[in-house]
Amino acid sequence: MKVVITGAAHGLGRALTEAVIARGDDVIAVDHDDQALGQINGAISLALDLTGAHSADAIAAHGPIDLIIHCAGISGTGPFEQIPTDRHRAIIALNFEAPVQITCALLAQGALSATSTHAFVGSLSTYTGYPGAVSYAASKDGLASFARSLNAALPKGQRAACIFPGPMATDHAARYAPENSAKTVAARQSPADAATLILAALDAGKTTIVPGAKARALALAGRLAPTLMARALKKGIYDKLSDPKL
Amino acid sequence: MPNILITGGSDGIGRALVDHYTHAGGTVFATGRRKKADVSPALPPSCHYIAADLTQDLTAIQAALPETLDLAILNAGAGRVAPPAEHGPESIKAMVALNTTAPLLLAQALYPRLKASRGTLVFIGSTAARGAHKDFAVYAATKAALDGAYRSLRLEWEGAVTVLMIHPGPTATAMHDKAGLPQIAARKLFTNPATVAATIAKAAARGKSRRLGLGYTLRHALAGGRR
Repeated sequence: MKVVITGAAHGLGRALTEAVIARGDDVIAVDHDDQALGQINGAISLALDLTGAHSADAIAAHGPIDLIIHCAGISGTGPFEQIPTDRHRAIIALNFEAPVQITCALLAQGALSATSTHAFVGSLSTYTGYPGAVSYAASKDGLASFARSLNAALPKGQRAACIFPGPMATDHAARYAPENSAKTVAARQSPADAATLILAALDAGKTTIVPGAKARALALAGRLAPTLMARALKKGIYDKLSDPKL
Repeated sequence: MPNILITGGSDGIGRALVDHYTHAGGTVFATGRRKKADVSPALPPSCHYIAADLTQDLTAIQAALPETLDLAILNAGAGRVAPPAEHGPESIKAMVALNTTAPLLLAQALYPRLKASRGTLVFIGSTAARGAHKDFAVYAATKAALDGAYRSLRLEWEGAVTVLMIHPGPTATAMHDKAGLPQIAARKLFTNPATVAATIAKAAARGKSRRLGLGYTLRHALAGGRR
Protein backbone atom coordinates (compact mmCIF):
# COMPACT_ATOMS: atom_id res chain seq x y z
CA MET A 1 0.00 0.00 0.00
CA LYS A 2 1.31 3.45 -0.91
CA VAL A 3 0.72 6.05 1.78
CA VAL A 4 1.33 9.83 1.70
CA ILE A 5 1.40 11.68 5.02
CA THR A 6 1.73 15.46 5.24
CA GLY A 7 3.16 17.08 8.34
CA ALA A 8 5.10 13.84 8.75
CA ALA A 9 8.08 15.22 10.65
CA HIS A 10 6.44 16.06 13.98
CA GLY A 11 3.63 15.20 16.36
CA LEU A 12 0.71 13.11 15.18
CA GLY A 13 2.01 13.07 11.59
CA ARG A 14 5.31 11.61 12.78
CA ALA A 15 3.53 8.97 14.84
CA LEU A 16 1.30 8.02 11.89
CA THR A 17 4.34 7.87 9.61
CA GLU A 18 6.26 5.59 11.96
CA ALA A 19 3.24 3.34 12.38
CA VAL A 20 2.69 2.86 8.63
CA ILE A 21 6.41 2.28 8.08
CA ALA A 22 6.32 -0.36 10.81
CA ARG A 23 3.49 -2.22 9.11
CA GLY A 24 5.43 -2.32 5.86
CA ASP A 25 3.70 0.27 3.68
CA ASP A 26 5.48 2.34 1.01
CA VAL A 27 5.51 5.74 2.66
CA ILE A 28 6.02 9.22 1.26
CA ALA A 29 6.69 11.53 4.21
CA VAL A 30 5.93 15.17 3.39
CA ASP A 31 6.95 18.12 5.52
CA HIS A 32 8.50 21.56 5.19
CA ASP A 33 11.08 20.64 7.85
CA ASP A 34 13.56 18.64 5.76
CA GLN A 35 16.01 18.22 8.64
CA ALA A 36 13.43 16.46 10.79
CA LEU A 37 12.31 14.41 7.78
CA GLY A 38 15.90 13.16 7.48
CA GLN A 39 15.56 11.44 10.86
CA ILE A 40 12.79 9.16 9.57
CA ASN A 41 14.04 5.82 8.29
CA GLY A 42 12.13 3.73 5.81
CA ALA A 43 10.18 6.44 3.99
CA ILE A 44 10.70 8.58 0.92
CA SER A 45 11.20 12.16 2.13
CA LEU A 46 9.47 14.95 0.27
CA ALA A 47 10.36 18.41 1.57
CA LEU A 48 7.59 20.76 0.51
CA ASP A 49 5.78 23.93 1.37
CA LEU A 50 2.24 22.60 0.97
CA THR A 51 0.85 26.06 0.24
CA GLY A 52 3.10 26.38 -2.83
CA ALA A 53 1.64 26.15 -6.32
CA HIS A 54 3.49 22.93 -7.20
CA SER A 55 2.95 20.89 -4.04
CA ALA A 56 0.13 18.82 -5.56
CA ASP A 57 2.25 17.97 -8.62
CA ALA A 58 5.14 16.89 -6.41
CA ILE A 59 2.81 14.55 -4.49
CA ALA A 60 1.00 13.34 -7.62
CA ALA A 61 4.35 12.27 -9.09
CA HIS A 62 4.37 9.48 -6.48
CA GLY A 63 0.95 8.11 -7.52
CA PRO A 64 -1.08 5.98 -7.63
CA ILE A 65 -1.71 6.70 -3.95
CA ASP A 66 -3.79 4.35 -1.78
CA LEU A 67 -3.99 6.51 1.33
CA ILE A 68 -3.23 10.17 1.87
CA ILE A 69 -3.41 11.63 5.36
CA HIS A 70 -3.52 15.42 5.43
CA CYS A 71 -2.01 16.05 8.85
CA ALA A 72 0.07 19.20 8.39
CA GLY A 73 -1.29 22.07 10.42
CA ILE A 74 -0.40 25.13 12.44
CA SER A 75 -2.31 27.20 14.94
CA GLY A 76 -2.14 30.52 16.69
CA THR A 77 -3.86 31.06 20.01
CA GLY A 78 -4.90 34.20 21.82
CA PRO A 79 -7.50 36.93 21.40
CA PHE A 80 -8.58 36.87 17.76
CA GLU A 81 -8.04 40.59 17.26
CA GLN A 82 -4.47 40.40 18.62
CA ILE A 83 -3.19 37.57 16.44
CA PRO A 84 -1.29 39.02 13.46
CA THR A 85 -3.24 39.11 10.21
CA ASP A 86 -0.54 37.11 8.43
CA ARG A 87 -0.93 34.33 10.99
CA HIS A 88 -4.66 34.09 10.35
CA ARG A 89 -3.91 33.93 6.63
CA ALA A 90 -1.25 31.26 7.10
CA ILE A 91 -3.53 29.09 9.24
CA ILE A 92 -6.32 29.12 6.66
CA ALA A 93 -3.83 28.57 3.82
CA LEU A 94 -2.02 25.56 5.30
CA ASN A 95 -4.74 23.87 7.35
CA PHE A 96 -7.66 24.36 5.00
CA GLU A 97 -6.86 25.55 1.50
CA ALA A 98 -3.80 23.33 0.93
CA PRO A 99 -5.57 19.99 1.59
CA VAL A 100 -8.51 21.09 -0.59
CA GLN A 101 -6.17 22.18 -3.40
CA ILE A 102 -4.11 19.00 -3.20
CA THR A 103 -7.18 16.73 -3.11
CA CYS A 104 -8.78 18.40 -6.13
CA ALA A 105 -5.49 18.30 -8.05
CA LEU A 106 -4.85 14.64 -7.24
CA LEU A 107 -8.36 13.78 -8.44
CA ALA A 108 -7.92 15.86 -11.61
CA GLN A 109 -4.58 14.19 -12.34
CA GLY A 110 -5.79 10.66 -11.60
CA ALA A 111 -2.99 10.16 -9.11
CA LEU A 112 -5.07 7.95 -6.81
CA SER A 113 -5.69 4.23 -6.84
CA ALA A 114 -9.25 2.98 -7.46
CA THR A 115 -9.74 2.21 -3.76
CA SER A 116 -7.89 5.16 -2.28
CA THR A 117 -8.73 6.87 0.99
CA HIS A 118 -8.43 10.62 1.65
CA ALA A 119 -8.03 11.26 5.37
CA PHE A 120 -8.14 14.77 6.82
CA VAL A 121 -6.96 15.60 10.30
CA GLY A 122 -9.58 17.95 11.67
CA SER A 123 -10.04 18.83 15.30
CA LEU A 124 -12.37 18.09 18.16
CA SER A 125 -13.09 21.83 18.01
CA THR A 126 -15.75 21.02 15.39
CA TYR A 127 -17.75 19.55 18.28
CA THR A 128 -16.61 21.78 21.11
CA GLY A 129 -15.69 25.18 19.65
CA TYR A 130 -12.29 26.70 20.43
CA PRO A 131 -12.31 30.27 21.79
CA GLY A 132 -8.72 31.45 21.58
CA ALA A 133 -8.11 29.76 18.23
CA VAL A 134 -10.78 31.19 15.95
CA SER A 135 -8.99 30.81 12.63
CA TYR A 136 -7.74 27.34 13.59
CA ALA A 137 -11.31 26.28 14.43
CA ALA A 138 -12.42 27.78 11.10
CA SER A 139 -9.81 25.84 9.15
CA LYS A 140 -10.75 22.54 10.80
CA ASP A 141 -14.51 23.00 10.32
CA GLY A 142 -13.81 23.71 6.67
CA LEU A 143 -11.91 20.42 6.40
CA ALA A 144 -14.67 18.45 8.10
CA SER A 145 -17.25 19.84 5.69
CA PHE A 146 -14.99 19.18 2.71
CA ALA A 147 -14.43 15.56 3.77
CA ARG A 148 -18.20 15.03 4.06
CA SER A 149 -18.92 16.46 0.62
CA LEU A 150 -15.93 14.72 -0.92
CA ASN A 151 -17.21 11.39 0.32
CA ALA A 152 -20.39 12.01 -1.67
CA ALA A 153 -18.49 13.20 -4.74
CA LEU A 154 -15.76 10.56 -5.02
CA PRO A 155 -15.92 7.77 -7.59
CA LYS A 156 -17.14 4.43 -6.19
CA GLY A 157 -14.35 2.69 -4.32
CA GLN A 158 -12.69 5.86 -3.03
CA ARG A 159 -13.46 7.23 0.38
CA ALA A 160 -12.94 10.38 2.45
CA ALA A 161 -12.57 10.37 6.22
CA CYS A 162 -12.21 13.10 8.79
CA ILE A 163 -10.33 12.57 12.04
CA PHE A 164 -11.24 14.69 15.06
CA PRO A 165 -8.39 14.30 17.57
CA GLY A 166 -8.71 15.73 21.04
CA PRO A 167 -5.88 17.25 23.07
CA MET A 168 -2.60 15.38 22.56
CA ALA A 169 0.85 15.47 24.13
CA THR A 170 2.64 16.98 21.13
CA ASP A 171 5.04 19.89 20.64
CA HIS A 172 2.33 21.55 18.57
CA ALA A 173 -0.14 21.42 21.48
CA ALA A 174 2.43 22.61 24.03
CA ARG A 175 3.34 25.56 21.85
CA TYR A 176 -0.19 26.92 21.69
CA ALA A 177 -1.32 26.06 25.23
CA PRO A 178 -1.51 28.64 28.04
CA GLU A 179 1.57 29.17 30.23
CA ASN A 180 2.23 26.73 33.07
CA SER A 181 0.23 23.98 31.44
CA ALA A 182 3.18 21.68 30.64
CA LYS A 183 1.91 19.08 33.12
CA THR A 184 -1.59 19.09 31.63
CA VAL A 185 -0.17 18.70 28.14
CA ALA A 186 2.12 15.82 29.16
CA ALA A 187 -0.83 13.93 30.69
CA ARG A 188 -2.76 13.92 27.41
CA GLN A 189 -3.15 11.14 24.85
CA SER A 190 0.19 10.29 23.24
CA PRO A 191 0.41 10.76 19.46
CA ALA A 192 1.47 7.11 19.12
CA ASP A 193 -1.74 5.92 20.83
CA ALA A 194 -3.83 8.25 18.69
CA ALA A 195 -2.06 7.01 15.54
CA THR A 196 -2.83 3.36 16.37
CA LEU A 197 -6.52 4.14 16.90
CA ILE A 198 -6.72 6.26 13.74
CA LEU A 199 -5.11 3.65 11.48
CA ALA A 200 -7.36 0.90 12.87
CA ALA A 201 -10.43 3.06 12.23
CA LEU A 202 -9.27 3.87 8.68
CA ASP A 203 -8.69 0.15 8.02
CA ALA A 204 -12.22 -0.53 9.27
CA GLY A 205 -13.57 1.93 6.70
CA LYS A 206 -14.77 4.54 9.17
CA THR A 207 -15.30 8.04 7.79
CA THR A 208 -15.80 9.93 11.08
CA ILE A 209 -13.00 9.13 13.48
CA VAL A 210 -12.77 10.45 17.04
CA PRO A 211 -9.74 8.66 18.52
CA GLY A 212 -10.00 7.56 22.14
CA ALA A 213 -12.66 7.42 24.85
CA LYS A 214 -11.79 10.81 26.28
CA ALA A 215 -12.07 12.56 22.91
CA ARG A 216 -15.36 10.75 22.24
CA ALA A 217 -16.75 11.88 25.59
CA LEU A 218 -15.78 15.49 24.84
CA ALA A 219 -17.30 15.25 21.36
CA LEU A 220 -20.55 13.91 22.82
CA ALA A 221 -20.67 16.65 25.44
CA GLY A 222 -20.07 19.23 22.70
CA ARG A 223 -22.88 17.80 20.59
CA LEU A 224 -25.34 17.76 23.48
CA ALA A 225 -24.47 21.19 24.87
CA PRO A 226 -22.34 23.09 22.35
CA THR A 227 -22.50 26.50 24.03
CA LEU A 228 -21.87 25.13 27.50
CA MET A 229 -18.88 23.19 26.19
CA ALA A 230 -17.45 26.17 24.29
CA ARG A 231 -17.86 28.31 27.41
CA ALA A 232 -15.96 25.73 29.46
CA LEU A 233 -13.15 25.83 26.90
CA LYS A 234 -13.18 29.61 26.99
CA LYS A 235 -12.64 29.48 30.73
CA GLY A 236 -10.07 26.70 30.53
CA ILE A 237 -8.01 28.04 27.64
CA TYR A 238 -8.89 31.49 26.35
CA ASP A 239 -9.08 33.21 29.73
CA LYS A 240 -5.66 31.78 30.66
CA LEU A 241 -3.84 32.92 27.52
CA SER A 242 -2.01 36.10 28.45
CA ASP A 243 -0.34 36.75 25.07
CA PRO A 244 -0.91 35.36 21.59
CA LYS A 245 1.00 32.10 21.02
CA LEU A 246 2.24 31.80 17.46
CA MET B 1 -28.42 57.45 12.74
CA PRO B 2 -26.58 54.14 12.99
CA ASN B 3 -23.53 53.51 10.81
CA ILE B 4 -23.89 50.30 8.86
CA LEU B 5 -21.38 48.47 6.65
CA ILE B 6 -22.57 45.93 4.10
CA THR B 7 -20.00 44.05 2.03
CA GLY B 8 -21.02 42.81 -1.40
CA GLY B 9 -23.61 45.56 -1.46
CA SER B 10 -23.91 46.03 -5.21
CA ASP B 11 -25.94 42.91 -5.91
CA GLY B 12 -28.14 40.17 -4.49
CA ILE B 13 -28.79 39.93 -0.75
CA GLY B 14 -26.26 42.71 -0.06
CA ARG B 15 -28.05 45.09 -2.40
CA ALA B 16 -31.38 44.27 -0.74
CA LEU B 17 -29.77 44.98 2.64
CA VAL B 18 -28.57 48.37 1.36
CA ASP B 19 -32.13 49.23 0.37
CA HIS B 20 -33.52 47.95 3.65
CA TYR B 21 -31.18 49.94 5.90
CA THR B 22 -31.28 53.09 3.76
CA HIS B 23 -35.06 53.01 3.96
CA ALA B 24 -34.83 52.52 7.73
CA GLY B 25 -32.76 55.70 7.99
CA GLY B 26 -29.27 54.28 8.54
CA THR B 27 -26.03 55.69 7.19
CA VAL B 28 -25.04 52.90 4.85
CA PHE B 29 -21.56 52.07 3.59
CA ALA B 30 -21.53 49.41 0.90
CA THR B 31 -18.56 47.67 -0.67
CA GLY B 32 -18.38 46.03 -4.08
CA ARG B 33 -15.75 45.03 -6.59
CA ARG B 34 -17.19 47.05 -9.46
CA LYS B 35 -16.21 50.67 -10.16
CA LYS B 36 -18.11 53.40 -8.36
CA ALA B 37 -19.29 54.98 -11.63
CA ASP B 38 -20.89 51.69 -12.69
CA VAL B 39 -22.70 50.95 -9.45
CA SER B 40 -23.48 54.26 -7.76
CA PRO B 41 -26.28 55.46 -10.10
CA ALA B 42 -28.36 52.40 -9.20
CA LEU B 43 -27.78 52.66 -5.42
CA PRO B 44 -29.80 54.92 -3.08
CA PRO B 45 -28.26 58.43 -3.27
CA SER B 46 -27.38 58.48 0.45
CA CYS B 47 -25.39 55.21 0.26
CA HIS B 48 -21.60 55.53 0.49
CA TYR B 49 -20.17 53.09 -2.05
CA ILE B 50 -16.62 51.80 -1.55
CA ALA B 51 -15.11 50.09 -4.59
CA ALA B 52 -12.76 47.50 -3.10
CA ASP B 53 -11.62 43.92 -3.52
CA LEU B 54 -11.94 42.41 -0.03
CA THR B 55 -9.34 39.77 -0.80
CA GLN B 56 -6.72 42.49 -1.24
CA ASP B 57 -5.53 45.24 1.06
CA LEU B 58 -8.21 46.42 3.51
CA THR B 59 -6.72 49.85 4.22
CA ALA B 60 -8.76 51.60 1.50
CA ILE B 61 -11.98 50.31 3.05
CA GLN B 62 -10.91 51.31 6.53
CA ALA B 63 -10.01 54.80 5.33
CA ALA B 64 -13.51 55.23 3.90
CA LEU B 65 -15.30 54.16 7.10
CA PRO B 66 -16.42 56.29 10.06
CA GLU B 67 -14.78 55.85 13.48
CA THR B 68 -17.62 53.79 14.87
CA LEU B 69 -19.82 51.14 13.29
CA ASP B 70 -23.09 49.96 14.80
CA LEU B 71 -23.55 47.08 12.42
CA ALA B 72 -21.33 45.28 9.90
CA ILE B 73 -22.85 42.62 7.66
CA LEU B 74 -20.13 40.59 5.95
CA ASN B 75 -22.13 39.34 3.04
CA ALA B 76 -19.74 39.29 0.05
CA GLY B 77 -19.25 35.77 -1.27
CA ALA B 78 -18.94 33.68 -4.39
CA GLY B 79 -19.75 30.12 -5.33
CA ARG B 80 -18.95 27.68 -8.08
CA VAL B 81 -20.83 24.54 -8.98
CA ALA B 82 -18.33 21.87 -10.02
CA PRO B 83 -17.24 18.46 -8.78
CA PRO B 84 -13.92 18.57 -6.87
CA ALA B 85 -11.88 17.19 -9.78
CA GLU B 86 -13.03 20.03 -12.04
CA HIS B 87 -12.09 22.96 -9.84
CA GLY B 88 -8.96 24.70 -11.01
CA PRO B 89 -6.54 25.95 -8.34
CA GLU B 90 -7.51 29.57 -9.08
CA SER B 91 -11.20 28.93 -8.47
CA ILE B 92 -10.46 27.27 -5.10
CA LYS B 93 -8.09 30.06 -4.12
CA ALA B 94 -10.64 32.74 -5.00
CA MET B 95 -13.45 31.08 -3.03
CA VAL B 96 -11.35 30.53 0.10
CA ALA B 97 -10.06 34.10 -0.12
CA LEU B 98 -13.46 35.74 -0.51
CA ASN B 99 -15.70 33.45 1.56
CA THR B 100 -13.40 32.54 4.45
CA THR B 101 -10.23 34.63 4.77
CA ALA B 102 -11.71 38.02 3.83
CA PRO B 103 -14.54 38.03 6.41
CA LEU B 104 -12.11 36.88 9.13
CA LEU B 105 -9.59 39.61 8.39
CA LEU B 106 -12.29 42.21 7.93
CA ALA B 107 -13.84 41.25 11.27
CA GLN B 108 -10.43 41.75 12.85
CA ALA B 109 -9.96 45.11 11.12
CA LEU B 110 -13.42 46.33 12.14
CA TYR B 111 -13.13 45.29 15.78
CA PRO B 112 -12.18 48.71 17.23
CA ARG B 113 -15.02 50.43 15.34
CA LEU B 114 -17.58 47.88 16.42
CA LYS B 115 -16.36 47.75 19.99
CA ALA B 116 -16.58 51.54 20.26
CA SER B 117 -20.34 51.38 19.78
CA ARG B 118 -20.88 47.88 21.26
CA GLY B 119 -22.02 47.02 17.79
CA THR B 120 -23.06 43.88 15.96
CA LEU B 121 -21.09 41.84 13.44
CA VAL B 122 -23.08 39.55 11.15
CA PHE B 123 -21.43 36.85 9.06
CA ILE B 124 -23.45 35.63 6.11
CA GLY B 125 -22.91 31.89 5.68
CA SER B 126 -25.03 29.39 3.78
CA THR B 127 -27.28 26.48 4.66
CA ALA B 128 -24.76 24.50 2.58
CA ALA B 129 -22.35 24.74 5.52
CA ARG B 130 -24.14 21.68 6.89
CA GLY B 131 -24.50 18.34 5.16
CA ALA B 132 -22.66 16.92 2.13
CA HIS B 133 -22.68 18.61 -1.28
CA LYS B 134 -20.94 16.75 -4.07
CA ASP B 135 -21.26 19.51 -6.66
CA PHE B 136 -20.27 22.40 -4.44
CA ALA B 137 -17.96 20.77 -1.94
CA VAL B 138 -15.50 23.66 -1.97
CA TYR B 139 -18.12 26.41 -1.56
CA ALA B 140 -19.81 24.52 1.28
CA ALA B 141 -16.44 24.03 3.00
CA THR B 142 -15.58 27.74 2.81
CA LYS B 143 -18.90 28.57 4.48
CA ALA B 144 -18.49 25.80 7.08
CA ALA B 145 -15.11 27.31 7.91
CA LEU B 146 -16.74 30.68 8.48
CA ASP B 147 -19.28 29.02 10.76
CA GLY B 148 -16.43 27.46 12.73
CA ALA B 149 -14.90 30.90 13.22
CA TYR B 150 -18.25 32.36 14.29
CA ARG B 151 -18.96 29.75 16.99
CA SER B 152 -15.72 30.57 18.80
CA LEU B 153 -15.49 34.30 18.05
CA ARG B 154 -18.94 35.06 19.46
CA LEU B 155 -17.71 33.87 22.85
CA GLU B 156 -14.40 35.73 22.61
CA TRP B 157 -16.14 39.02 21.85
CA GLU B 158 -19.09 38.52 24.19
CA GLY B 159 -19.78 41.78 26.02
CA ALA B 160 -17.83 43.85 23.48
CA VAL B 161 -19.28 43.01 20.06
CA THR B 162 -22.31 40.82 19.31
CA VAL B 163 -21.27 38.26 16.69
CA LEU B 164 -24.02 36.60 14.68
CA MET B 165 -24.23 34.09 11.86
CA ILE B 166 -27.07 33.98 9.38
CA HIS B 167 -27.16 31.03 6.99
CA PRO B 168 -29.43 31.95 4.07
CA GLY B 169 -30.94 29.15 2.01
CA PRO B 170 -31.25 29.34 -1.76
CA THR B 171 -32.01 32.95 -2.70
CA ALA B 172 -32.94 34.33 -6.12
CA THR B 173 -29.73 36.26 -6.81
CA ALA B 174 -27.20 36.40 -9.63
CA MET B 175 -24.82 34.21 -7.59
CA HIS B 176 -26.32 31.01 -8.97
CA ASP B 177 -25.77 32.05 -12.58
CA LYS B 178 -22.23 33.14 -11.78
CA ALA B 179 -21.71 29.83 -9.98
CA GLY B 180 -22.87 27.88 -13.02
CA LEU B 181 -26.07 26.42 -11.55
CA PRO B 182 -28.38 25.31 -14.39
CA GLN B 183 -31.89 26.78 -14.71
CA ILE B 184 -33.55 23.97 -12.80
CA ALA B 185 -37.26 24.22 -11.95
CA ALA B 186 -36.48 24.37 -8.20
CA ARG B 187 -35.05 27.85 -8.73
CA LYS B 188 -38.63 29.12 -8.92
CA LEU B 189 -38.81 28.38 -5.19
CA PHE B 190 -35.70 30.41 -4.27
CA THR B 191 -36.45 33.20 -1.82
CA ASN B 192 -36.60 36.83 -2.90
CA PRO B 193 -33.48 38.75 -1.70
CA ALA B 194 -35.66 41.50 -0.17
CA THR B 195 -37.37 38.90 2.02
CA VAL B 196 -34.02 37.45 3.11
CA ALA B 197 -32.70 40.97 3.80
CA ALA B 198 -35.68 41.72 6.04
CA THR B 199 -35.11 38.46 7.92
CA ILE B 200 -31.40 39.27 8.38
CA ALA B 201 -32.22 42.77 9.65
CA LYS B 202 -34.72 41.38 12.15
CA ALA B 203 -32.24 38.78 13.40
CA ALA B 204 -29.49 41.41 13.70
CA ALA B 205 -31.80 43.70 15.70
CA ARG B 206 -32.69 40.85 18.06
CA GLY B 207 -29.10 39.62 18.33
CA LYS B 208 -30.09 36.12 17.19
CA SER B 209 -28.25 33.88 14.73
CA ARG B 210 -30.42 32.05 12.23
CA ARG B 211 -30.40 29.24 9.71
CA LEU B 212 -32.94 29.84 6.94
CA GLY B 213 -33.56 26.18 6.18
CA LEU B 214 -35.95 24.33 3.92
CA GLY B 215 -39.00 25.31 6.02
CA TYR B 216 -38.17 28.99 5.57
CA THR B 217 -37.63 28.61 1.83
CA LEU B 218 -40.88 26.71 1.29
CA ARG B 219 -42.92 29.02 3.51
CA HIS B 220 -41.81 32.06 1.54
CA ALA B 221 -42.19 30.26 -1.79
CA LEU B 222 -45.82 29.54 -0.86
CA ALA B 223 -46.43 33.08 0.38
CA GLY B 224 -44.91 34.41 -2.86
CA GLY B 225 -47.20 32.17 -4.90
CA ARG B 226 -50.28 33.60 -3.19
CA ARG B 227 -49.37 37.21 -3.85
